[in-house]
Amino acid sequence: MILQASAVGSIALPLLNEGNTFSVHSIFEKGLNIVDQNGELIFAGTDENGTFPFGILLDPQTKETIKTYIQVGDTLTVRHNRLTHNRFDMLLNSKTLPLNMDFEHANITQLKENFQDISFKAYDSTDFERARVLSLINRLQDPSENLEETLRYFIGRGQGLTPTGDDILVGILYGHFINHFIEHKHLETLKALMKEPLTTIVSKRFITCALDGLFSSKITALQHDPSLESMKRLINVGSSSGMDTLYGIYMSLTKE
Amino acid sequence: MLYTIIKENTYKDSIVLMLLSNKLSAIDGVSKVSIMMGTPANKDIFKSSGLGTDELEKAKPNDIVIVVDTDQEQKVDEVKEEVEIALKGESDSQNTSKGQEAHNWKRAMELANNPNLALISIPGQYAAMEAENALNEGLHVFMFSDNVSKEDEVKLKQKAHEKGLLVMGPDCGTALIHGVPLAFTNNVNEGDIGIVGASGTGIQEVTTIIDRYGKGVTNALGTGGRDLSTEVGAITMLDSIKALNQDPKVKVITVISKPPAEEVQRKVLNLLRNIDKPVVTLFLGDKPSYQEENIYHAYTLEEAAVVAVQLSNGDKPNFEPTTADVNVVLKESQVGIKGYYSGGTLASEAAMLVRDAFKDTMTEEQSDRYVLKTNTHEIIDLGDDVYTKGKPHPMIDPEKRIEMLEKSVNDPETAVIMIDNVIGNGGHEDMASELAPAIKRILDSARQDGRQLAVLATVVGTAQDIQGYEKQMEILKESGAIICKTNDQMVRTAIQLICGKVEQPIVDVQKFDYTKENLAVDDKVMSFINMKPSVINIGLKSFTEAVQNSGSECVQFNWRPIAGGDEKLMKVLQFLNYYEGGTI
Repeated sequence: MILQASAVGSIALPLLNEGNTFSVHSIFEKGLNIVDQNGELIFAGTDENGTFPFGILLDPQTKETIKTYIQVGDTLTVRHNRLTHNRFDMLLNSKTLPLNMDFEHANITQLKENFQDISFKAYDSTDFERARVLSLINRLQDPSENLEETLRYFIGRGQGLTPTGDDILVGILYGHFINHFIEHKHLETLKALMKEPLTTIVSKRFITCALDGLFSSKITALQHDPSLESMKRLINVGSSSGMDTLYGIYMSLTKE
Repeated sequence: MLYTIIKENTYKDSIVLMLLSNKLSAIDGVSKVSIMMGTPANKDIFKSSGLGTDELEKAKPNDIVIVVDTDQEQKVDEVKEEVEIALKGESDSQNTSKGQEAHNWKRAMELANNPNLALISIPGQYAAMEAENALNEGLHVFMFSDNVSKEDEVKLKQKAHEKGLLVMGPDCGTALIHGVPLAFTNNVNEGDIGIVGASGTGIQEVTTIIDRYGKGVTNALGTGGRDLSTEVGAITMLDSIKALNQDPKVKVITVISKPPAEEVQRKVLNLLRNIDKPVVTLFLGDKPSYQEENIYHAYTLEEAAVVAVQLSNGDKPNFEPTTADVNVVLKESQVGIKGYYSGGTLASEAAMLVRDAFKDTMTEEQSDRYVLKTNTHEIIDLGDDVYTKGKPHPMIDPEKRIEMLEKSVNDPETAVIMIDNVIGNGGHEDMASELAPAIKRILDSARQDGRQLAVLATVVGTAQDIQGYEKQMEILKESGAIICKTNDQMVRTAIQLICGKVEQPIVDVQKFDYTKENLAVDDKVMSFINMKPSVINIGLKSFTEAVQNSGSECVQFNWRPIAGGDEKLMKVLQFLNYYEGGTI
């Protein structure tokens, strides 16, 4: 069976080198994760949760077809610009997903205004209450702080494949890219911590991309359309991931 | 009491974990439960919420960790069961088809994992009907069955072509589909030479020679012997050539057939002239009278294989025929060549070369028992219907061959005896050991009669074949046979022994005009040759095992004739089924 990828993310692209081998790491409703020998992860799936720089975009039909053929542990190899599995070949000669790094287009005032309509009160009774997140954000602006322990608290903490703490960090990093505030030193600390086994492989992928200014399309949509609808679309990602990310963005924009 | 369950490297949607968490909390007797990924931060949460255990420390960030607090130990099993059900999910439902058998199409389609090929080996009179069912189910068809009418073959192949499917056969004995050998096929290395052939042993000889030269064949598509007839019009061959042309993994295309009907040959050559990849053709029986820039016309099977290897290596075609060293002293009266073959195409090749060498001096007798018969020479295909009625094929059963060997020694004019040993899937597990005593006996018997005899033998196989290529040669050699590397070498050696010679054709390169062809081929055919087939096997059970052994999935369909085998009634039911779109 020959299948066609709809688009490939710019981080996934250099991993899809001739001969590179991936194994199927996990299979979800909306797609699957494949990992190469160096632990680099690619998500192949639909855009229901947005598109990802480390993603291969598939239409729903193709995703379903692949899911019927594949199981965890299967091998996929890149040959002649195809991802080859023993039951199908996926053609990769498709367009590259846009990076959306035009953070300057973000309308921060509008975003702040629309945040008024969303309640983040539920976080007050969790490990990520307002005071704790605010404290992190304030200290991220201070070059004299050492944030290693605090970041360790956040990383990998909470429910889900992308634990809540990680999603909040991704949100805070997005807040930083549209409105710089984090001291370089702390970005380096976070980068260094990502080399330790502190969180899931998927979450690690999101954070390392976010450190480079690469976010999923449901997040970058906010810089093109700061409407409440855009925010709601982000909230609908995952069971709580989208909301957790939005909470991070909200806290970083309303810190003052 | 705390119980820890760690599911290593397990990933599920958050929603699955939340539902599981709710379910476990609802179990009577479970006072507390928590499910999280095993990150260091989460382990702290487990500990701080009173669910810290020693085992927890073993968990890694990509593991799902479940800690249950319950005073009733028996509840842990219930928890484990729920966890298994929830985490199993949809992705683990594969690999269930292995070992299951079906008795009707509906069940076979349910059991099979995305099937794309029906392998049919039931009696000929029913085979066409089941092939049609297979096509209706969207499957490609490999028909091992013979005795299918030509009209049915035309109908099936036209239907397949319209649906973007391939019908290989009827009477197709050999095919390699993405490295998976079907029916009588050798275990050949995968590689960049693609083959389409209307002849089973022809494909076997060519693919095994290619393998022994260190190259490989991923797809060898059999068409069945009648595909290049006027009526069928090479439907399968044309579609197969197009598929090999579209497959970027194929560097050289090799086409093998008996000389086709003239207009069909024109059609095939016209298509080949549209193709940029180097092509080797072998219309066995025709001595090439010209070459073409991009199409090499070979004369023998070995030549086709060697040139395909050379072209795949980027070398210029250059075939030099060889003969084996034979140390036998023949009397002047010993002038006859006898060939007792199990491979039909190998017998045809032998006849062709003997005819070519002695065309000026020999008179042929016409008989359907012989591929070639003169007053001195005889070449027999023991796999022909005349010899196999009610008996197994000579590749499986050595009896007829032994009988012919014993008989031949009585003829004092016999100089050389040629035999083939076709090994691989479907063949006898040790044919060499069956033939060796007979060879020894006839050599001894001739010697006692005051003459020598040359018994030449060739093994069609590869080192990967279960019978062992080297081992089979060794056994035959020990019996006194002279081993030839190929059938070409064996026949040329035989001819040389009685002072004849076959000249290789020396020909010019010619250019031909051709009409443009649409080279597009259906995606279903492309995907068929690009992955291991998932097979529904209708008939011979041993084919199922062979397919499964090569790592492909296969569901055994234990076919029984419906309507008590009444063909007329079966056809009516078939029509109604098709008409209603249902199945029985």
